[in-house]
Amino acid sequence: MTVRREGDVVWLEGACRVEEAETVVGLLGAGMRTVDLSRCQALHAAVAQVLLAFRPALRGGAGGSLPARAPAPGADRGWRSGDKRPRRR
Amino acid sequence: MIRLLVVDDSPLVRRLLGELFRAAGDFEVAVARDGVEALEALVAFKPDVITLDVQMPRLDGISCLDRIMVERPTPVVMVSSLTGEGAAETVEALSLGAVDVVQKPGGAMSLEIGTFGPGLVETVRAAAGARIRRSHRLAERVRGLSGAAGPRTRPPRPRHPPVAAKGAAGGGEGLVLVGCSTGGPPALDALLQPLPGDFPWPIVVAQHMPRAFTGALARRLDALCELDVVEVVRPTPLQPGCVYIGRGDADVIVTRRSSGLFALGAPADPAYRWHPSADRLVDSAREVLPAANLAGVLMTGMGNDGAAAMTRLYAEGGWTAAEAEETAVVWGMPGELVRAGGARVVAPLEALADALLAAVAS
Amino acid sequence: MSDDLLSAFVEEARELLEQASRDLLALEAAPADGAALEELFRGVHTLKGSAGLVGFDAMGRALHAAEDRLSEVRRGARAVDAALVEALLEVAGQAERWVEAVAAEGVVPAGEAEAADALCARLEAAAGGPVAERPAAATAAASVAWAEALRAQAPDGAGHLIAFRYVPASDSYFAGDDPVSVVRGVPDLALLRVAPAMPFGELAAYDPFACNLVLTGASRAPLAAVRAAFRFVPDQVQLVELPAIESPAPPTSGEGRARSIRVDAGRIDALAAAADDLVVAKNAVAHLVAQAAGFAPAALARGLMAAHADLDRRVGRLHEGIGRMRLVPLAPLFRRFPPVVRQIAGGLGKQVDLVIAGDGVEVDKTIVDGLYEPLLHLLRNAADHGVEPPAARRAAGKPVPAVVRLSAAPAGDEVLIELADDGGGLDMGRVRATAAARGLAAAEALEAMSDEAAADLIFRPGFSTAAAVTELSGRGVGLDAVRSRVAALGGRVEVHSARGAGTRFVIRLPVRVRLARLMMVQTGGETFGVPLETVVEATRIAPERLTPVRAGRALVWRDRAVPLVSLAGLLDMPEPAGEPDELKVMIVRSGDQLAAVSVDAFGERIEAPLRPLAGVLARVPGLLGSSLLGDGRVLMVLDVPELIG
Repeated sequence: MTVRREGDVVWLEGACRVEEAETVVGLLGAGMRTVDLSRCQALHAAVAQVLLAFRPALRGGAGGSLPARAPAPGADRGWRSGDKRPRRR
Repeated sequence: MIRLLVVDDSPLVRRLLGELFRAAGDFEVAVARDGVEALEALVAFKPDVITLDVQMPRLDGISCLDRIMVERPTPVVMVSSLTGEGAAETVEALSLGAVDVVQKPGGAMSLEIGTFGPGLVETVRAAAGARIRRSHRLAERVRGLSGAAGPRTRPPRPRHPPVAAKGAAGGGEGLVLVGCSTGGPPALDALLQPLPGDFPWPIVVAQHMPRAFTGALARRLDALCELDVVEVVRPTPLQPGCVYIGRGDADVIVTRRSSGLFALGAPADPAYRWHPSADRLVDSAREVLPAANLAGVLMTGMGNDGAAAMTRLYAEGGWTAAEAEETAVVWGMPGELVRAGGARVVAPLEALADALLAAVAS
Repeated sequence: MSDDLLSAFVEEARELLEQASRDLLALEAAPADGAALEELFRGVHTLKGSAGLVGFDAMGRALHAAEDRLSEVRRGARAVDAALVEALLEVAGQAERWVEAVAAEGVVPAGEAEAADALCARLEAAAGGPVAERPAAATAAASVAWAEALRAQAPDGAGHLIAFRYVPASDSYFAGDDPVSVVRGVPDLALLRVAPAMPFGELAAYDPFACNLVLTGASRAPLAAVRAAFRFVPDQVQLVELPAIESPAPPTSGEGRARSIRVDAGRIDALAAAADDLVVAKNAVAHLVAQAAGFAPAALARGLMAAHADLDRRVGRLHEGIGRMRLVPLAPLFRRFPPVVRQIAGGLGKQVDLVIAGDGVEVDKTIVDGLYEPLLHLLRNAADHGVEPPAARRAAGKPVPAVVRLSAAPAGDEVLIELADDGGGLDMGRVRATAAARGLAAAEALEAMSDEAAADLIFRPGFSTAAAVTELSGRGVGLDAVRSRVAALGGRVEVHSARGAGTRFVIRLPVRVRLARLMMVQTGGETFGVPLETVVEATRIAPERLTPVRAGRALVWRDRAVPLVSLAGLLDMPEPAGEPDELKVMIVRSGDQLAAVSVDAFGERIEAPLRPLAGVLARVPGLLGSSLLGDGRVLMVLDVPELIG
């Protein structure tokens, strides 16, 4: 399992696969507002898309989920100002 | 040796399939170029199993199938390259008693035969052992004839008294999960048609089938049943009185959103062998509802999909039913469930609907 | 593949094709001949399967398109007409040539994709459908707004970059694709943006497995390497080469602030016309210089050429400078709209606030002048159909006064004009139903179409009819006119919509009318222009280097077999009689394929303002526009890749 809930925080860990997208939807739809990516190594596009759609606050770097020098999904657009932006590497 | 009759109007397909099955070692192959030749071979060659093309000259595949089922009921595997409107014809064939349908590869068949071939041989071998039941076929034929007289409407049916779900006072939501494969479409007719339109639990179906055909299957069942039958093409809130058919070549899962339960198509998970996976469907439902609010029905089909998850469901207090050996076209999946000790009820096809009604109402 | 499989294929195909031709002729004589139709459908279907069986994908694809059309006829969604029969006969003819090629050579011919594409397009056209839009030529140096925007963000923006825009199909996840992992495969990635393709809408019914992403980015790797990374999804990717840009010239003004003087617009127009003429005159000199080079002493010829090159550069700079003078702000145009919108809305019993932004953006005056009508049309549409009646807005929990936002923003060499309303959005169900009812696409095609693609149907001629319900215009009336007006200005328009949240039209236009670099070619005594960026090489070929292939000929060019066609043939002009000593061919890129196009003669290379075509010519496929030659003749500029189609 690469999706874990800890208090109000959703942790994405390791390599998040396409099947996990609905699990993340369930958690964010139920009111979780923060996603921690610091232990995430790779993010399937479907999971990244969920983050774009539900716009949780993001913690931790994009890890190796996206190519070096590239901002994490949505860093360019789609995040409300005030939300934490993923750290650039 | 299994006596196989290959019916196809393309000499290339005949040659390719002939080579494929002869190479398998346990087949004796004869060929026919069209429906008329097929009916002659039916008597002369006495095949154990037939592969039948849908589009053929003189006598098309559907009419030919109809005649085969009258003249000498024989397991038939439809080999179809038709999609779109042809999907309806193919599903029609399944309801007329064809055991299975295989979609011809879209690209270079000679190149894809390496991947496509083994599955086809396995399907035809299993079909050769299928039970083709005269009574079932006759019922289908009568329905087909009455349907031919005019536009098909929902058959009138005596109204059941309203079915009350158990635990209706609180947390009454429940769910029926159905898994089937080879021989599934007519079995779904038999299971779903007797259910009343106010059946209290939504029903989600994992029928192994190529993607091109599940839409046609849903439309056909919708016309036959009092229940509303839809294919799951987007996240769909689950409603009582509705049947949700999982889209082919993908999985179907149940999930809880803030507004309630949804059925959802999901990319086929390679961890499972058949799709839509009954195992994955049942396990997804176990995540969102207590076992007591779930009912599982496993019907005819090759392999063992659904048996493991339904066994878990039964162990947790859920209600499960397996189709009995005497009616199953292939007693693979239900057989596995029975052997694993996961079936609360083992019943012939025609008794499954009543058993389900009783279980949900009790 | 075994030989007897192929010979069985040939035997079967010959028989089926003969029968198909008979059926087609019977259908042409009696379009209602159901038996002929059934037999034809079955024959085409079988032959399609057989082509697939022997791995002849191109033939399979063409026949599949034919089968689709026939299937529509069987279903009653389409009638048999002369155009369809003709297109089908063409397919049968090509299939026959293919089959004979297989018979003659004992192998399935490779590289027939273009012929198949042409047939598919032909069938589509006969069906009254669109000729599929050509994917952007990857190597064209054309600036594209999204690519320019990317470059502006690139860490070292002056470098040579390959920009990509990857819009995965909505069922990508089901097909097993992971778009993020695909872009991770792009070597030397300089920049990546991931954004939703469409607004997500109601999250309660969010579909996590329907892909809704646009991935744009840029790479420093060579084009071929970037293309290779997208090899499994080539149809979902646009690639644009961004050449390294020279550092801009420092401002010449000694003072720090801009000074301005008022000049009558007519004078600027006259000056711009004079600059255009100067370009033409310069091109005439180029012609003379080339002639003089033939017999003038070498030193004189070199001097002439150097002087001409200098003239060429200076005229180019002058033309560009005047072009910049012609830039005018959009504000006067935009200011005309608020009263009009109030009036329209009032007549409809609605309250609409028009909010204007970015009207300081400057665009070529010709473009500003051409924008009034299309924008007015879109505004009417927004007020009439985009914005809901007050009661519906109240029911939806929206404030009664609707907001329509008209904005402009520069994007590289383009300007982006957006017109967005906060109304109910397009009813995609109705759009599909209307498109089906108007026969714009088959029902299955519509069902399979993404919402984005389906929304685009509203721009199709005939989407809505003149029997519109309101005194203004029915949704869609004239949207095809909007699209063609914008196209005539060198731009394009698209629509985005989110149910409940409104409709947004986006118009992209070039800021400036630009000079096109053209190569002149002659065939059949006529001269045509071909944009240089479509020509890979112009070369001469000895006839013995040609090899006959099936119905046509091919030549080997840089170790690749390239099909040869004649420009005369492409233009339906008489072929030159006799075989010349050497062939003059231009190697042209059409999508991923190369083709050799033979011409009678090459002319000089020129730069000229390219005028969009107006009137009847505007709809002629294969024509990009016209240009005025040094001697006063009008030069037709050809879109050769489209001609090859």
